[in-house]
Amino acid sequence: MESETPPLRPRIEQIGEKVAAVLIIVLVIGGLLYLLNNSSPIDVAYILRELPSLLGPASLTLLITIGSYLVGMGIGFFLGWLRTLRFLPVRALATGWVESIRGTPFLVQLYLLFAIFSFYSPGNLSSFDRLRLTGFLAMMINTGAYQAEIFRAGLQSVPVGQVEAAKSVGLGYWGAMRTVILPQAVRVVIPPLTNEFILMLKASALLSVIGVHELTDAARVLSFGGKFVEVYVMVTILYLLMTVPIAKVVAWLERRYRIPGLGMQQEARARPIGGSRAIVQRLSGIDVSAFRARAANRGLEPSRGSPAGSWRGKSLTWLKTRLGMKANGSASQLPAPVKSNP
Amino acid sequence: MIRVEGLHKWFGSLHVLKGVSLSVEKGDVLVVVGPSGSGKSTLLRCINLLVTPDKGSVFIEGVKVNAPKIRPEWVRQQVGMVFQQFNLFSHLTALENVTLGLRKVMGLSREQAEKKGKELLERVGLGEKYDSYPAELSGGQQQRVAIARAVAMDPKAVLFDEPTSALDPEYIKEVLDVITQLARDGMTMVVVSHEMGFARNVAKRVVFMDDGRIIEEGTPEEVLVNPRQERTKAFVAKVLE
Amino acid sequence: MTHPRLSRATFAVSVVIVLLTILAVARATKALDPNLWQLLELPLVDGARNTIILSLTIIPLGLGIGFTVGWARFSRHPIISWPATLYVDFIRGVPPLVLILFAFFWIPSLFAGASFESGLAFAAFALAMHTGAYQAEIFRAGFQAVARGQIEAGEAVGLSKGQVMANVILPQTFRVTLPALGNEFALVIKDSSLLSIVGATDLAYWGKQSELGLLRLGSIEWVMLAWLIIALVYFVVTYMVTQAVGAVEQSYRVPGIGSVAF
Repeated sequence: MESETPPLRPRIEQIGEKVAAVLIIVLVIGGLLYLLNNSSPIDVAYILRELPSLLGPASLTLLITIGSYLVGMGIGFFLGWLRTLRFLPVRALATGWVESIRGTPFLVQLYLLFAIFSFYSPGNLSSFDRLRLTGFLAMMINTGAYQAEIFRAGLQSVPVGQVEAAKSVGLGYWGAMRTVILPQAVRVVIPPLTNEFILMLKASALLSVIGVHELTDAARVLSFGGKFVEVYVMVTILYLLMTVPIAKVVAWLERRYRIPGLGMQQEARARPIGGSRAIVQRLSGIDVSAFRARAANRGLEPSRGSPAGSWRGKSLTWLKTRLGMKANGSASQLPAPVKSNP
Repeated sequence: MIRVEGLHKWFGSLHVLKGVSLSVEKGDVLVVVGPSGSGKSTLLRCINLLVTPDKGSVFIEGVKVNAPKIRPEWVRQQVGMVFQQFNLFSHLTALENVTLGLRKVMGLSREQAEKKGKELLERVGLGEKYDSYPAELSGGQQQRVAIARAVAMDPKAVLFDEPTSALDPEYIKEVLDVITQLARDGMTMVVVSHEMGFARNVAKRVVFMDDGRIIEEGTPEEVLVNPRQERTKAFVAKVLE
Repeated sequence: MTHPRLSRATFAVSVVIVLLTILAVARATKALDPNLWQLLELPLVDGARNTIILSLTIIPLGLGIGFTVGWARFSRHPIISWPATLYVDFIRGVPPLVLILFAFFWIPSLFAGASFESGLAFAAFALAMHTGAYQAEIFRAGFQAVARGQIEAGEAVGLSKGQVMANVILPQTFRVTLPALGNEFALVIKDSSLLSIVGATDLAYWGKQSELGLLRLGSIEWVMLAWLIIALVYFVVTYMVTQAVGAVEQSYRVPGIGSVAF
């Protein structure tokens, strides 16, 4: 008599491992906090009391970050687009600017702007406003350069062959932009852009150095009261509340919009393709090698569905009929092959 | 030479192998056919212990190998494997792919290993390509290197897991030719394949598997031409249409 | 849209433009005054040296942490991978400055022999943990980039788990992670400027310190110029590191192995 149920031990072991993992994590974190606090328990009452005072600076952090990010996005798109133009002087200027900003520390940029604005400050700004404006500008310039790189990569990720095809159909530069380049570029840039937002949130902490009363500065001031661990626990939680949801969105986006061959990580390595298969892929829009790679990725899981072997035959037949070739292999009329980079 | 008795394997709650038993004599070529999901690949992987059976025994030359005291690495030296996706090491040349096992597992010196490696690559028809990387080789060439790699370890038997299923049609013949030649040279083989022509011409025995069980086994004529079981008949009819 | 060959021309021209801009600013601010260079000599030399020392300390530490944690993330046992994931998500969600401040001000006081140096060491270690978290992600992606089938094939040939790691996984992970690692190294060099806030005498620190002297002896333009020069030094150091990594990448390049985009 064969038993129909799987052996019990492996399943128990699996669940046991996960439970143990959670237990270990909780114990380690609790233990660390206890030790860090000079071996005394965390003063939760203090946390609950002082938390509201941190909310104001936290919202300033958010405000400055969101504002500078959005304005920076406009700058970034413009600069990124400049870097894709054929006209060398413009491209060189944009590149020079962007690479200079990206190659130097944000702190140095901040200090430089701070020096400039301490001297040449516009009219009747209060000193606090001046500081916040300086910080805002520094962040705006910084994110503008990094986003320029993201947009440039996004615009250039569209295969050259498709752009040429669009132009040969009669669309001008802006037509090609609208119908071919931008829709595809958008999908590519969204994950790095959301990542950049998180990076900017963390960079905003540096504004405390020039005196802006944002979250890190508030933490520093509050910690003079002596309750270090409690203060930093609060600050950590607040920052995590701001960054972790967005990070999860980024991870979800990357999984959902994974585009094989456009610079995002692939699960299984597809074999390199070339020649006629590349043309077939571009024109029909499906990536045969990713299809195959996904089949390979099933590994030990028994494959379901049609008998193995015929999926390949079916997909090739389908491709051929879409191209107007007869299914048994004799070519009737192939559209003029578009030059593409395999 | 290779015998499995009562193999069971679960993946999670999925019962993939439901009590499979078969045996392969020295020099036999056994071809396993069946629909996707029937457990053929899992069966192969139980033989060289890439997958540990939950129940049952695997014997190689009379020795029970799925026992705690036996090192799986030793088992895999006795039985080689060729994969559907070739699985060549991308960072090594064809020659280095073949000699890696020779040098690291069998302890040969670099000269000895390279000499043997080049001979083997000649045997599969890739003598000049020894310095090429997998990315520079066609599918058929990669699979032939994979066969050379498996044979290099002087195994007692070689397992083939759908060796031609991932190949473009123009390369299937060259790989099947190499496998056929290997069979004629006397290598014991278990081959999972859908190439019915190969099964009829080269196999000594054919086994039909479905849903984790062996449904029918016998000579190629018995199983493929005059099957007795209903499921076998249905499967053969579908494949041949 | 731009041909790869043209981008080298772009780079050359933009370098020229940047240098010309700096020269123009220098001329406008009478930078050839020897007083300026006397004031800047110590900051630039000492600062650059300390920046490099800090970076060279933090990068290897980060590599060690990153490799270990990345390997843990890759593991199939939740007992190992879940804490690693928590570590990575936590560090990546908190500003490095906060980590540095906490490490500098608080941790040393928990031990008996607290000093400025120990505070600095802890702060530098906090930065190492920060870059370690990012490198962990890079290494995890690198491990995942090695097709599982090749690991299976390695085992099928008779290699032990350790041999598979050394001969199949690591060589490919190494090649695949190099570009992203080079990028991360550049980031470490830039983030090292944060240590100036807690007193490390690197470039950024000296820049801040010399502001007053420059203002008194010269003008605000000299302050701006000093910062520009400091930025230039950072840029050169960063550039050299990425070039070096690129050279290593080239010499180990194998057709068929790409890189994980980051």
